[in-house]
Amino acid sequence: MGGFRLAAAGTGEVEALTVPVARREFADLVREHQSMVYSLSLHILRDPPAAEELAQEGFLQLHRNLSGLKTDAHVVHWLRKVTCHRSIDRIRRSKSHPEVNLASAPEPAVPCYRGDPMLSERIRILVASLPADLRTVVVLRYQEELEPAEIAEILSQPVRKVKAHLHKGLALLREKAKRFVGEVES
Amino acid sequence: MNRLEEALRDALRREEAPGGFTEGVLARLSSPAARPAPWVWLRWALVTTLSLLLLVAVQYNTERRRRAEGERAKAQVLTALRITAEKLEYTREKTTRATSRGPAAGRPVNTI
Repeated sequence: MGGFRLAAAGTGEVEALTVPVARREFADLVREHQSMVYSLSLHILRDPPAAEELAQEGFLQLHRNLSGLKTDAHVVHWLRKVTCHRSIDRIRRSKSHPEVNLASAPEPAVPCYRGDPMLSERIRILVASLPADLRTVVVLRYQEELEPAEIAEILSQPVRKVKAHLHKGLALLREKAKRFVGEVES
Repeated sequence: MNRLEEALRDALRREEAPGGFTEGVLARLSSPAARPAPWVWLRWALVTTLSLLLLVAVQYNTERRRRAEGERAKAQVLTALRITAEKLEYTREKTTRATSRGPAAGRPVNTI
């Protein structure tokens, strides 16, 4: 979120982002960020039960580390970092979550157009077919609207590498979209 | 922004967490499984105690060996001193005997 959301936020929101989290109820914290954490893990893992479990574990870990996080902005950064690393670890460790095989995915029954839920689902399948590193960068870029420098900080990678992953990920998606979706190609 | 990026933003929008997500987190938080089990602390305490004991034992052994070496060195010095004292005493007695007999002592007597 960082600069993007801060820039877009009103005065009240900016104040809220700097309120020490120690004084806030943990339940409110979970409610506030659960959508972000769950969506990140869902878009990376593409497995709703696993995403929910991973997101919950992330919040449990947050609870144990809450004393070290001074502001809501730190909490958001920490949650993104932990969620992404846990998701990547899970993909790499688990043999039961292979990357989605595009050839085995069902074809859409009707032609796709922009804003169509079916097109979105096809795009999510395409994203899930990317290698874990590229997938995570793409999800952070387009779900969380983060700049490459922010993504680099979250993934503890050089900015150059993140840019390369993003470029490669988009090129792969473009190529796959041309074959499987067609209309999305710019 | 091209159409692919637009489609990505559309497809990767944040989704609501399943119902009862927060309650699930809080329930897991209050469950014993979420808290570190006592045996975890016990294990760490045991490891720490054993490490300390090992450290103390190593320190004690090092000190004991150092003392033993010191005692050995002291005994060697005392032996050397005793031998030196005996030699000196022997030399002193010999010198005293030679002096008490006078300057001619020990020389053959001229009888012619």
